[in-house]
Formats: sequence, C-alpha cells, structure tokens
Amino acid sequence: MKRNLLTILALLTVLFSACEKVIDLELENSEARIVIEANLNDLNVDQLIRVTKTVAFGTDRKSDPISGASVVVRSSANEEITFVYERDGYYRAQNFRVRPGTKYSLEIELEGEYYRSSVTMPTYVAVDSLGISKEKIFTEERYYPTFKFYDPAQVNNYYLYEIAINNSPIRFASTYNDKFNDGKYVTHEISDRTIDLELNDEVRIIRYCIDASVYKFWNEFQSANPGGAAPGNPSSNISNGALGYFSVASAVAYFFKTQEYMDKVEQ
Amino acid sequence: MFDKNFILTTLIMLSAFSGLAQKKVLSGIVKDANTGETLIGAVVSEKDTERATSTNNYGFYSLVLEAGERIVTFSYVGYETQTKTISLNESMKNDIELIPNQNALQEVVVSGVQRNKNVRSPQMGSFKFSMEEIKNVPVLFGEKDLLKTIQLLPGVQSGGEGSTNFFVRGGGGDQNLILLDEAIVYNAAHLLGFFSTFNSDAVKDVQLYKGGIPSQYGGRISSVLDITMVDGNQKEFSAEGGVGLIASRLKVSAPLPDDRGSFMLSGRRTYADLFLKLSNDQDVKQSKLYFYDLNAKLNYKIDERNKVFLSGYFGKDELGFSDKFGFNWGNTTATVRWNHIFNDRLFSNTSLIYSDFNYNVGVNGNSGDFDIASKIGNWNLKQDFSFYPSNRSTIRFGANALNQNIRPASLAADKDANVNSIRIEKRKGWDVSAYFSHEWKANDRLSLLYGVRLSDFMVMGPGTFYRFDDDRDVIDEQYFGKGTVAKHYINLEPRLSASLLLNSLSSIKLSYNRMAQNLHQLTNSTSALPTDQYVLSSLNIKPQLADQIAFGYFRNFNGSAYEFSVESYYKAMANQIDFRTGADLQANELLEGELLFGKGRAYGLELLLRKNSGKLSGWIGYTLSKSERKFNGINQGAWFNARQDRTHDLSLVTMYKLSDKWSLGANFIFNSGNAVTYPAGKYDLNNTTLFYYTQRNSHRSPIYHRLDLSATYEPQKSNKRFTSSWTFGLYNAYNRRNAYIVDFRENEDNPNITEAYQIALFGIIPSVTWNFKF
Repeated sequence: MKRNLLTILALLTVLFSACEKVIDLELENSEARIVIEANLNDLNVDQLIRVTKTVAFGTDRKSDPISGASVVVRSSANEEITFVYERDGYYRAQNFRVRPGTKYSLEIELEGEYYRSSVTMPTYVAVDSLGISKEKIFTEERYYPTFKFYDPAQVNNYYLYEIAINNSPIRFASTYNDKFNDGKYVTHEISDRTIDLELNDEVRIIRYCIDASVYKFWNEFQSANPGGAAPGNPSSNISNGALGYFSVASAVAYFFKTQEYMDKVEQ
Repeated sequence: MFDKNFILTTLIMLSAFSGLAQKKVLSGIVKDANTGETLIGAVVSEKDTERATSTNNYGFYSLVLEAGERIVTFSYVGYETQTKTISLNESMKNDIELIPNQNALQEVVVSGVQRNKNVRSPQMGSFKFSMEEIKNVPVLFGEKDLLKTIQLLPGVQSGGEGSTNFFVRGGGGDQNLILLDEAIVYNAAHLLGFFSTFNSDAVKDVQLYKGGIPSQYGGRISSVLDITMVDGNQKEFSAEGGVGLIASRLKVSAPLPDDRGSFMLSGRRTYADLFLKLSNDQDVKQSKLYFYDLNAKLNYKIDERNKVFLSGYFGKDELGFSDKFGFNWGNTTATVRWNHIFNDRLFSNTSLIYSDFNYNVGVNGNSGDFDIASKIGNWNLKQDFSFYPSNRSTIRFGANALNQNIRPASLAADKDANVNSIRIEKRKGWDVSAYFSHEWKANDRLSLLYGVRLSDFMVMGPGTFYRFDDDRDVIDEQYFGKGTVAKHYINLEPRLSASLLLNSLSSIKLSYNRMAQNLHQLTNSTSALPTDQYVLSSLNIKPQLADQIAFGYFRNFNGSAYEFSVESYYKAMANQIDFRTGADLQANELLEGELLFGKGRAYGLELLLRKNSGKLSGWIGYTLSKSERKFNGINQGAWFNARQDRTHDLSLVTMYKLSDKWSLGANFIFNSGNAVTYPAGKYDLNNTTLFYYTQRNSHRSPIYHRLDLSATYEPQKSNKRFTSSWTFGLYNAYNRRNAYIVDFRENEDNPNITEAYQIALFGIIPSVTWNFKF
C-alpha cells in the first residue's frame, strides 16, 4: 500500500513540475554524542560492536571512531564476553556464538559514563520461498527480491532486511512487524532505499529476526519523511542518551542473481 | 432536550420587554435587485439619529425608530445606496432591493454611518467578503478559491505552497471551525489539499473570525469560517459556468412559481484524468485522478413569516492506480432550516444539520484484497433566536445538541487474504450547548458585544476506555455500555468585544474570548491528509481550550474609502495534543497512549489597510507573530516554536478596473520562513547515514515570495442575456523556486558528504478560464 501511495505522490509531483536543487544552509555545531552499533547475530562466529561519535553536518566523514571504550556483553547463560578494540571504532569478540532464546546484556563504559541495554535473541522464522517479483508502475518495470513465509501466529514477530547490490556495502533496507498479518502467509518485497534493481544485478540480502526494541528504532528511522512533522532521533534501546541500537538477531544471508529468477518472475 | 418552559418564559419576558418601548419597528429583508439573492451584512441606518443595524445571515433586519417621517438608507458594498423616506406610523415591514453597481469606474462616495461599520461595530478580528468582491484575485490554475483568498489576510497562514490548509493566529489546522450553511466541513480539501471543497459559484458570502468570536459559535478554538451558499435567482432562470484548465463548472438557478422562492444547483468536475484514458497502457487507462462537487439549495417561502431552506453539499475525490489500488474520500453536508419571524423584533431559526467525511482505500495486491475505511460525522439540532428590543440592542440566544461519531480506520480483509481484519471501536459524544449574546450600544461612543456559551461534552459509551501511566502503559481499562456517559466536560466560555469611538472615523477595540474543542485531528504532516485520524475528548484527552485577548485601533480615511486597522493579540492554549516520536497511529486500539499533552501560546500584531470600492480595490496585510508549544517529552520540556510559527507575513492584494472591458489583479506575498527542524549533526549505522537532531523547530525554512497576476476581459454585451468573459492568470509570475520541502541526504558520488536540498513545487503557472452567464 505504501508503494502505491508513493506512486501516486510521484505522479502528482510530475504533474506539478517539481524541481530540486542543492542548497547551502548554516547549521550549528552541536556537542558530539556517543553512537553504538551492536548488530550481533548467528551468521558469524565473530561478533562486532562499533562505538563512534556524531560529527557536524558539514564534516567530510560519516562519524568519528572511538577507541577507548570498554565493551562487555553478558548472557543469561552466564557468559561474559569482553570485546577488544580493532580499528575504525570496531570492537571484536572472537568465537562468540549467540543462541536464540538467550537474553544478552550490553555494557559500554566510556569516559566514566555507562551505556546499557539488553535484548532477547528471537528464533529465526524460516522462509518458504524466494523469488523476484516484477511490478509495473505506469510504463516502468521494477524488480523486487521477494520472501514468502508463514508468520508464527499469536506472537509478535519483527523482521529486518539489509541489502547489497553488486559490490556496494550492505546496508539497511527495511523493517517489518506482523501487526496486520500475524499468523498469515506473508510476502516481503525488498528494495534498496535509493537504487533501483536492474535485471543483471547480483543482490545479497541478510534477513534478520529482531527484537521489538530494535524494530522500533529502525521503524522510526524508515518512517521519517521530509513532508512529516518535526523529525527526531529514532528511539534507541540503549540507556544514558546513547544513539544507535543493541541487537542480537537470528539471521540468514541470501544471494540473488536476478537473471536466474527471470523464468519464474511473478507478475 | 431544551427546557420548553424556559424558552416560553424567556419569550414572554422578551415580548413584555418590547411592549414597554413606545416606538415603531421597521423590519424586512434586503435583496439584490437582479437576482433576489438576500444580502448578508447590509447596513440599514436612519439619518437623524444615526441608528443603524445590519442584516443577519438571512438578509433580515429590524430597526426600532421613533414614529413619524424617517429617512432610512440601505447600503451594501458593490451596490448603489438607496435612501427612502418612510412614514413610520405603525411598525411595518419593508423589503428592499439594491441595485448592483454597474459602473464601478466612478468612485461612489457614501458618507455617514453605514461606511464606518468597521469602526463602530464592537466586532474585531473579523473579515467579511462576498465572492463577487474577490472574483479578480489571481489564483492557482485559475480556480477561484476562498480558502486561498483568506490566506492572504493578516493572521491567516497557508499550510504550504498551494495548500488549502490554513492556520489562524498561531493555531492548528484542525482548530478552525469551517461551516457551510451551518454544517461542519471536516475536510475542506481536494486532491491532497491543492483545491478547496468550496466551489466559488455556489458561495455567496464568507465571514472569518480570528478573535472576538461571538458566542453563537463554538467547538473549535482558533477561528470560525462561516460560509453561506447562494440561494438562487428569485427573478428568472439563469445559468452560469466556466471552463478552466483543471475543472469545468456549471450552475443553474431559477425561481419557484408564485414568488415562493428559488433553487440553485451547482457542479464542478476536474478532468486531468481524461488524459489518462488516451494512454495505450492498460494500467494507466484504468487509473483514476479526479474530484467533483455538487451544491444544491432550495428556499421556499411558506408565508410572510415562515421560510424554509434546504441545502446540501456532496463532493468526492477519486485516486486509483490500475485495478490494484483505489483511494476515495469526500464530504457530505445537509442542512434543513426553518426561519420564523415571530414578530418584527423576534427572528427565529431552527436547523437540523448533518455532515460527514469518509475515506476508503481498496487494495488488490499480493497480500490479497483488503479495504480500509473510516468515517466521521455528526447530527446537529440547533435553535437560534435574534431579538431586537430597542435600537441600541440586539440579543441572540439559542441552544444546540450535536451528536458526534467517529468510526476510526478499520481494515476489512477477504477470508483468503494474507492480512487480518482489524476493527477499532467506534466513538461517540454528545456536545450540548447553549449561548446568549447581547450587542449593545451603551452610548454614542461605547458599543459592547458580550455573551457566554455553556457547553457540556459527554463522552459516550459503548466502548472500552483505557488509562495510561507516565510510561504510556495501560493501568486500567473500563467498559461503558451503550447510552452511558463515560465523562462530562463542562465548559463556560465567556466572550466580550467592545469598541470605543474616538471620533466618527476612529475607534479602539478590545476583545476576549474563551473557546473549547472536543474533536481533535492527529496529523503527522504539514499538510493535512484525508487519512488523518480524529479523536474525541475522552478519559485521557481533555478538551482543548484557548483564551484570547486582543486590542485594536480602527481608523477610516478619505471619506471612508480606506479602512485601516491594527490589532494585537495574545492567545494561551491548554490541553494541546502532539505525539511521541515514532507514534503508531494506524489501527491502534491504544492510540491514546501515544499522545502527549501540553500547552501553547501565540501572540502577534496585524496591520490591515483595505479599500473596498472604486477603480482600485484590495488590501495590504502585514503580520508579525510568534507561536510556541510546550510538552513534556518534546524538546526536553522546554518551549519550542510551533510548526506554523512565522515571524513576518506580508500580502498585497490589488484589483484594478482598467476599462469597461478589462480588469486586472495582482497579489504579492512575502513570508519569512516557517519553523523547521534541521539536523545538528550526523552519524552512521549499518552503512547508512542518520541525522542527529537536537532542538525542535529551532531553524527557519527559506524566505518565500511570489507574485501572481490576472487579467479579465469582458467583451461588451452583444445581446442582453448572454455574457462571457476570459480570465488569464500567471501564478508565481517571476518563476521563483520557493522551497516546498528542505531535506538532507548523502551525496551521490561521495557518501561521506551530506548535503541539503530543496524541492520547489510550482514554477510559473499560466492559466486561462472562460466564464459565461445567461
């Protein structure tokens, strides 16, 4: 439905001959704030947590890496894992396998301040079928990697997708809950937030089953639109005003060669 | 519902009161001589004593005068003033027909009382115009639009480029009471806000109150926009219409037999979608994009004392893509009114009013078929009296009972669809209120309009109501059965306006009003969308309240050809509604837990110089203003600028009659930017750049300015019956790229760099419209 609305908005925009240009704005420099990216999952044996700080809007860097933090994760199975600084803000724990149903707690100490969070790792919801679906929007044809699966009934499930097209870095694509289709046979069509998929592209998608608080964070991020009310920072599940999130997720990576699916493209 | 005894007693008292005066009453109806259309706000004044009154919404006036030979003048903007000598030996009825000013090229000099109504009347913060007066104001796509015109007034702001949404004196878009023949119009926008639901052909008169709101109005805290539809030609059959770039219009009206009244039928439809039909593509062919409006009105005179009016509006927008997606929305209103003249001093109107707004979304996609539907509506029974006890007083009183109901968006899915049906409980409320107001000329200098409105809003069952703690978790739920009152919200709303004449051409004015509002729109964007949720006051949501105080100085110049006013106001708002970041507003039973409650304040200064008649007419308006909000949970609990906060606002509206054939119009608009939130920094997660925000609405969007031009060519009449005219327009004549949206993104070539960009909506837009009349 969202996509259909977007189509109509796009049509209206064309009708009213909208035009776009880059502008210069004077934006103030605020004090840097700590940002935590903790995406733990069962795809990898090693786990990475990244600690950075915000930078001013006009800076020619995405963020500033922070090296002096102490990063520890504890589990309900009495594990205590200390992450060791590597480079570029990344802290690594080798051979740390996370298990569904286990509760994990994060504790980061930096400059005398503590940042804490805890989540329970959800069980993976298996995919029933994979494919590429084709949608025609007026005269333009678009392709979407598509996941079909049975959503477990009577429980809240949250899904997150990351996408990499050809050799681009893998990045956030979209996140879903099962509010409207709990217990149903669900279809998720995935697209990159800015790049349209071409027929000869190779696509890598990681599908995560995530905790509600992680869904909340990314959903607030993806819901922000320029015509909306005053934007805010997505609600972090980490304490003490840190930006970012702590997630321990079940995940599976999928590779698509779009061409190979073409004989079974769904209209 | 009303206490019959109370009304009877009041009537008897009022009659007794009127019996005491040893004077005669002149009463009647003021009409247009060509069409028989009643004129609202026409001034009737007596020469010797300068006693004056103006006609009410039905063209009725009543003036108490000394018996004997009286010289009475009748005047109305755009019409020739009539002076009559009347032998007033008995109280008498005197209907008057005024002749429209055919030759506007000559400055009509009218002196005396009638021209200084703006100075003398205690009413302030108001603006009244007829559609005739604004017909040459340039407009977007050549579609005359009263909502776009009022946005050119000081104290009134547009909700965005080309938007019909408007904000009055720092208030919200849902805080305006928009009435069409007394019926509440919930969503006054077509095509996502670019056009208003008001077809200008069907509208006679528009009255806007920004402050000093009289007590007969209630239910919204910011403003009242009272729109009256045309009654229809009482003299002969007539038709008029127009063909424009966006829409075509047709109106027919005709008298009823035996001078019993008249009817009017008016329609409008857009035709952008006809081009879609030309496409070879099946999907495009089946797509929809149009709206239409129908207005109808009938008035029937039963006898000299009784008249009934039926009026209605129906409008719909249709958007659709192929057979996969459909979206339609629209308003319906219906009003039945009965005017009864008890005697020459007591006028009564009884109305039964219905109005609703609904939308439907139909989806036929890969999750199966499902529909989302929502509806909001009300039934309103209303009784109003106008009583004219003496030439110094007009008393208005009445009561109404309004049944408000909301069916929130619910999702209905096919059995085999892959989505679940969701039904959200309906909500109901009764808004019962009574009012009294007295307009009183205390002496030659001081005039007062004071009154009070008492309203009881009853939150009604059936329904489950929740209470929430500070963390927005449910602490208890309570079920109220059908017909039980879950909560009463009783509000006493005092209203006062006063004017003190400094001399015959200038006055100072003061007003205070308290307003209460029990229907709240939850809007997530700057332009109101048809899918915005409405909620009623409930156990959690308290009525929104506003207290406004205003001062003004009014002065007329040049034989009253120019009217000047300066007004300043301060408004305090309580129980304002916002929602927390990331609020889930869709099909959410616990929606109220997502809401935040706070307060607001707005203040400003408004200057207006207006010229109503002559070759050159129009106005210059300037506003200096501030509007702020304060919520726990937003901006660390500190005051922040409201979205509609804008410091400077200037509009210049001019209409010039160049010759008998040509009329010109020009608008110039200049605004300093609205309050917006820009990032204070950035960070990255999962290879995606996120922006870091600190203070809410602490930045300013770029300055906005624009010039619009129009020219109307009306060839000399070749035959008497048929006339036609051409209107040419240029919206945004110097093609200024005003920012509609400012947003931020990663640079395409180097994702380490972030940039700000703006989207402009309209460049220069030419238009041409052909209008006819016979």
